[in-house]
Amino acid sequence: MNTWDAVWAGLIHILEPTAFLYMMLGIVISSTLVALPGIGSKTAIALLLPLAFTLDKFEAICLIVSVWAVSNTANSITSILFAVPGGSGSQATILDGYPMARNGEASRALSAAFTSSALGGIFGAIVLAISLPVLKPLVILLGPPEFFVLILFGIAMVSTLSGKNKAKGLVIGILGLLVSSVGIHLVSGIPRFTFGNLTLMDGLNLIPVTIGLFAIPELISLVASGSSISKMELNNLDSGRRQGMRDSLTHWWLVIRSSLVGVWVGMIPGLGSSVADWFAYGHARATEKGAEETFGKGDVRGVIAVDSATNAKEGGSLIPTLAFGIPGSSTLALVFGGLLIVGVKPGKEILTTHLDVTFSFIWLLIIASVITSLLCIIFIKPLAKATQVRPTLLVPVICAVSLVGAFANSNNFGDIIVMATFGVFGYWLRLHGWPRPPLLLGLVLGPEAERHLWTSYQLYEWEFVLRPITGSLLILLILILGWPTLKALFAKLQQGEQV
Amino acid sequence: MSLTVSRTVLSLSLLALFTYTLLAGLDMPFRASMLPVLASGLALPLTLLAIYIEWKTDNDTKNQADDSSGDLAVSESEVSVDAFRRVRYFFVWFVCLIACAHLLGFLIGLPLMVLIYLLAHREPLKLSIFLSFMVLVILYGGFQKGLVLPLPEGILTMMLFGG
Repeated sequence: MNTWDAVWAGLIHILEPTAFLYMMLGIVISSTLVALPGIGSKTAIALLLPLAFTLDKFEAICLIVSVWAVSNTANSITSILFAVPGGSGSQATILDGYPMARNGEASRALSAAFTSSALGGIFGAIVLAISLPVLKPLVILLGPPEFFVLILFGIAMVSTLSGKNKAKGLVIGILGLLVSSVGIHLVSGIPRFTFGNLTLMDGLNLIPVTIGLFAIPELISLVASGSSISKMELNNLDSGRRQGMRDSLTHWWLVIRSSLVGVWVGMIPGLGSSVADWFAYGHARATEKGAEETFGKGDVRGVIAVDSATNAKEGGSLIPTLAFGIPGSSTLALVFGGLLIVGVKPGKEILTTHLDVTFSFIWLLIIASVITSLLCIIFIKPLAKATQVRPTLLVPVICAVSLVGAFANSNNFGDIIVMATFGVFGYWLRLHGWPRPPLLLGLVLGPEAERHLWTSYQLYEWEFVLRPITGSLLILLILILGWPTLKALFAKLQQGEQV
Repeated sequence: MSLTVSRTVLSLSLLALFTYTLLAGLDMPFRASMLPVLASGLALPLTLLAIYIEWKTDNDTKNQADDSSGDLAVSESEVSVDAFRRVRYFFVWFVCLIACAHLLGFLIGLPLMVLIYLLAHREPLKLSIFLSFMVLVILYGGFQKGLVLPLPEGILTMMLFGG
């Protein structure tokens, strides 16, 4: 089968009435479930796997892949409206989406998020299609030392999220790394910072920490201010919807750059799809004009960057999954499992004799993203109106659901205590201007950082930092961190010369 | 506790935490200690630097989130005396919410505490009962039945009515 035949056959397979119906079912289930805090696409796929077992190959692919492909779009709803991240990929959406909702621009923020999401999804799928022939040498080029430095890059990116006092961002990012080391060390079996507590032995889970760090402080903020999320009149919802779509199209270059960031992060196995949003946000903040002043206060570009990247990364994460059988994330590992159930084996075969299956994936990414975004845009009005509800009605209900969300992650009551502890800590950090996002990034990247650090040390001892790519990346990293100081120093020297 | 004291306590707590993790890390075998020691060793001087920068730029950012901190900024209305009083009440309710979930179980404890919160904030009785009932529907219908997530029963209810 040649490539064009495969492209066509891939499309035909998913447009079969029953397969299309299963895709729609996947979209509805995913969008509904991921809007609940703590319930991510993993839960949705896990629930649907037994059903997939009974279906025809392409019906099952449509069901499983659509659940996974669209989860990031719906994730943004609770992030923007209530500062409660729907999943790990929608954390950075809060930073500008929530302030926009507070400024009466919920409709615009949601619309921009959904449109960028669709554009990012399409972009990611196109990149996946184009890169199929050239991907192998790219991924093989990177070894553990390079991965470790790339992770340090992630932590360095967060310093750009920390305003004038970048040291604060780095400190909190490193705290995140330390938080990730809580629990029994998988390699040596040594309990670290557990104090003999059973919940801590398992380590700290991302969901309760995320809900604690972001949702609880925002609920406290609602209680403290005593007003609804949106303190202003909601601007005309229809024009907000149109404006949001226009914003995404106007900032097409930002969409493309953020999507590229998403694809790049997504295609590195293990780097974690949950960091693409932070990378994209950091990139946008560092490169967009005036972003230093406006990001974090309700700048639509912050929402656009994050949502394009989170959906584009799915195309990127499919690259190692399909080509090498290495799932790019834990959710993809589940998708991978589902594919094996119906007889689709990622690897060489899927890129040669079953190329139509690969293109079905690509078409699904595009079609499901567009349909989900359209559906979400249609329902913007009732969603945006939720920001006008009195806090006395919202706070107890969201608190109760968040509590269950933290528990649902591992069926452990201890996670509720973790959530509450990080809730208080997050409120404390927020009150005194210590940024919270770096903590999450550190927590997400921590296990991978430790694994690559140890492997690099075993292979090259400390000399791993002198390897060409690693060394270059480290120098670049130091330059990024030290650039503002160097710039100020040069300016002072120049002033001194002029005097 | 004033905001200045609270901020100082936060900075000192971070310093103490990193000192502890550094010392505890040094006691671990090399393999397990690599990340904690490396991270704590970096964090300690960085924390001191962050405190120094904050102290230096203290005048205009006192008691406020850094406007460009990349996090959600704290508004004036959130740091008033009234706001802190409301936050204190919220904390009491939140602790009771967790305690009730533990003692009475999720299906009884959470809707009950939602009802108490709503009534304490003088919301209409019918609306309060409706919302509490909706929470019960989400928990039972959505989580317990829909997602097959077994919500735990309370210690007290198990003692009284059996498991």
